[in-house]
Amino acid sequence: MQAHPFIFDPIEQSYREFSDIPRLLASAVAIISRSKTLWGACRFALVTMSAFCVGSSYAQEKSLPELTISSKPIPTESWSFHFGVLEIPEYSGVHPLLQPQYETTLSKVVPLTMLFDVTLAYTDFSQLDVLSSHRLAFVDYGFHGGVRYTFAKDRKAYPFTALEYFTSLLFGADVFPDPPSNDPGRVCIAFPLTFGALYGLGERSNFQPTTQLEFGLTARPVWYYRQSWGFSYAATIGFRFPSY
Amino acid sequence: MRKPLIAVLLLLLPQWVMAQSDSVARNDSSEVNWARVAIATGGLAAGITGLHIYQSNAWWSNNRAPFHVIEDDQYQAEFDKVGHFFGGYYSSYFFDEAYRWAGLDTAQSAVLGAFSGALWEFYIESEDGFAHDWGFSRGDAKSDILGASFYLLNNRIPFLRDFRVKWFYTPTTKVTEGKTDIPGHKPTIIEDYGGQTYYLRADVHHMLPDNMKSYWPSWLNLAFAVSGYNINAHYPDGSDNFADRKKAYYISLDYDMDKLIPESSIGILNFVRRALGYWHFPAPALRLSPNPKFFLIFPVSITFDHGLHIGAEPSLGG
Repeated sequence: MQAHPFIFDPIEQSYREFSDIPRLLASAVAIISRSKTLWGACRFALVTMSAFCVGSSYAQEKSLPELTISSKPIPTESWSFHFGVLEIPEYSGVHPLLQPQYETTLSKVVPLTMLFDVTLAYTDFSQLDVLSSHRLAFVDYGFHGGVRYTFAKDRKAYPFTALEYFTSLLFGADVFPDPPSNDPGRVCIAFPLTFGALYGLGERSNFQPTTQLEFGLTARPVWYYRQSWGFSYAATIGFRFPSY
Repeated sequence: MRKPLIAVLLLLLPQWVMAQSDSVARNDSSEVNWARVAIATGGLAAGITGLHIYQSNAWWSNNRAPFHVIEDDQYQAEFDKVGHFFGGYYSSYFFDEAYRWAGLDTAQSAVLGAFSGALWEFYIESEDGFAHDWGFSRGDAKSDILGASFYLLNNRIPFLRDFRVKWFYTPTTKVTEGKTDIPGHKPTIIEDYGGQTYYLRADVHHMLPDNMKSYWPSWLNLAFAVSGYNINAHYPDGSDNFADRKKAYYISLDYDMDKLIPESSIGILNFVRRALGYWHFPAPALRLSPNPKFFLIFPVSITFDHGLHIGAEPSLGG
């Protein structure tokens, strides 16, 4: 039997070349979104992962001597600006996202910060044409506040580490336009949960990162007024400008 | 969709209580005073509960409906959106004061204040969404969020600290004679947009180079302002009352009461002094548009038409 150099596409019920991987990924997402069980499993995995991360970070903090904790670079405040895409099942398509964010530390020894963001998601990419005179059309705008924990590494032990991970849990509200059909509600309370990574683009002499690249994946459980629970997702990339 | 200012005014109540023992509200100490945190959160919770009960009885009772959203972009020529912006901004200020009084540092209290202000205004807007006679206004919510966000920017970006949003109010016939858009509706000063003016003032003294500061008093500012124009227009002949309602724009002098009134060792006086820093008081102004006009003391109009006439500018509110 000849080995097949292709991948099986479950939607088309046929084999495809490796170059079709993006399409296969889209197929996988489509299958997951059609299945309530798989959808639920994804949500469960997300919540479990977040609980695990928070638990492990707490254990890590407890196990570290106080001296090493204080050698982690904790900015007093940071401004970030994120670009990305937002996917809301009730509003078809992928929507460009802009998200300015402010962050300030809650502690001088634990890399826990509180933050406030404003989320602006446009209906489509043509809305980003700043030279156009049309009125901006948002598919989602809202605000969120909450806490972020950065898995900051001890710079005495890892002086050259540029990559750090973080997780954040926020609470806020969002407003949507009228959906085309099956009105799922147009105003919601949201609980964005984000996992991401910070990559330092430079470092000061005392191991404090300067500007950082920030990558984030957000799952956002939402409760639509008078309606039901929903879910939306965002992927963002941006810059974080910490000050110490 | 309305009432942002009454929300702010009712939030004053717990603030006044808290300010009783406040003599060092502006400190950056990282020591959180948990007793003050309890008083601040308790006071805010009591204020919010009181406001909810008041609004439930005054506006929302017997007026409930399923949640619904409205578009009211043409309402009052969008001037009400400026009011909502200020509602989010000023609410954030009061929350910020409470958190700072409790011992949070300036950055923490500012971010928490802005978040609380936005949440508070959003809550009021959401309750409107369940009211039969009005609804959740997307435009109002956008303005609320913008106002709270600007408060944070205003506090954390050094350049923006030279700017401040202020408000000014004089009653119009809407309140004094009960002329309202909705028959049978009792107008309040909150809905009296014709009498409201909002200012963005620049601290000229602080912006000047050091060698020029002595030429400009520290309390005197320049401001850009926006008010309603013909905002209460009513036409008995059945014409569209909203057709001639506009926004008017001004440049104006402005003065900071928190700089003119000396600092006091009594907490409540200091709190009132700082809160007055967000209010504009009558000052010379030039209306740029529409119908350019100079006001010696805005909004008093002085005209010479077969004699001297002094009175409130009628075109503001009608």
